[in-house]
Amino acid sequence: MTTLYLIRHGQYDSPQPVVPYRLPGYHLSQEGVQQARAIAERLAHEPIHAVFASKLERTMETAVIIAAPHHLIPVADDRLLEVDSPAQGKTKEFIDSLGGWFIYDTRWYKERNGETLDEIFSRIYGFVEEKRKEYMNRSVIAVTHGDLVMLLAMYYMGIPRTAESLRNVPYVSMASGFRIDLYAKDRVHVAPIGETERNT
Amino acid sequence: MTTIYIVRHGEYVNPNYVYPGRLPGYPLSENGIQQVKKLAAALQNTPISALYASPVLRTMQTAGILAEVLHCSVVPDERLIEVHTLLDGAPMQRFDETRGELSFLPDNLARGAESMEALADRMYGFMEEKRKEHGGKEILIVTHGDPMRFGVMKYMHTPIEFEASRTVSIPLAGGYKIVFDEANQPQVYPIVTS
Repeated sequence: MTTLYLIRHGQYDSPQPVVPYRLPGYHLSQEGVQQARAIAERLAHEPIHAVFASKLERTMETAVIIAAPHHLIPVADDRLLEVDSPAQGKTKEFIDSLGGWFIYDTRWYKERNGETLDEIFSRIYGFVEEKRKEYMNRSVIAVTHGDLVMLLAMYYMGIPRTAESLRNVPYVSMASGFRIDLYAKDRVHVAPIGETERNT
Repeated sequence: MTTIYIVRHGEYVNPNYVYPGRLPGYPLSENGIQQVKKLAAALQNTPISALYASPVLRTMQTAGILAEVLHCSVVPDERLIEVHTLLDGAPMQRFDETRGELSFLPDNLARGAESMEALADRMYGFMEEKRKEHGGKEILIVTHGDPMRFGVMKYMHTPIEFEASRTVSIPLAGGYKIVFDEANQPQVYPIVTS
């Protein structure tokens, strides 16, 4: 068995009132640091062998806090990077005008060749399958972004990979996520960890 | 907030595949120069107050490329030099066969080679001296794989022993960013060059 803790970054400060996606310069807020410390404490006594993270500030800063008790330094992996979205840098009002957060099924998004749910899923799933082989019988942590956490969790829970599902399934909180136990023969056990436990 | 960037030299020319250690020669390869340019690009908006480098060729060349992009000068310092192994020029294969432990094995230490503890203390001592000297600033150190690794391990409170040391990777023309908060507590980040 391989255990993967899949964690979303903590709350961050927005220097501009826009949706960051892959933009640089969005660091954890004070609240976000506290959230990261809380999940770090939850995981401090698990035997963790490696910590991976999206290279953006909010995920890397969360990962550094989580990795420290294990004397580990996070390793950046681009498969954990935020969605490649044409809405990057747009205002929240603009996103709302498209019908809310999950714009994957809008014409606006498709016409601008935004990364599809299948494309996002296939890179996070590729990461997981690689690490599961590399870290057989060990545990690793991956710190990534909300939609990536949700797409992987939904897959293991058998929930259809659609924008509609993302709207309806309880969404992962900041600095929370899932413990995913990957057994041989593709048997998988998924349990929420952190804030998510109270939501679901 | 004080920040120390500590990086390893780029890939170097090594036709006979020996352990170069502190020997003269072994310049950066064409690929190594490109690796260092990528690293320089990743750091280009960082205001570097001081750049220290191990005085051997591959680290001085690495530092030279970085200094040009970052508009600073290079200060060589002997304390950043490669591990004292007594094995300079030995076949690299002997290191590979021991996953790099060769120099730290008891028989070699008995001959007078530098221990992991001595290496960690040497690097930590240098970095602490420079952290205090450049309080509130950002500085850059160019050194070798194991000196970088064992120095970083001190800040991570990683046990100074061989197996634990394998958790700190030593990428060519890559390394770590150590950020010290107001209470001088360090946080260690990878430097991401892609």
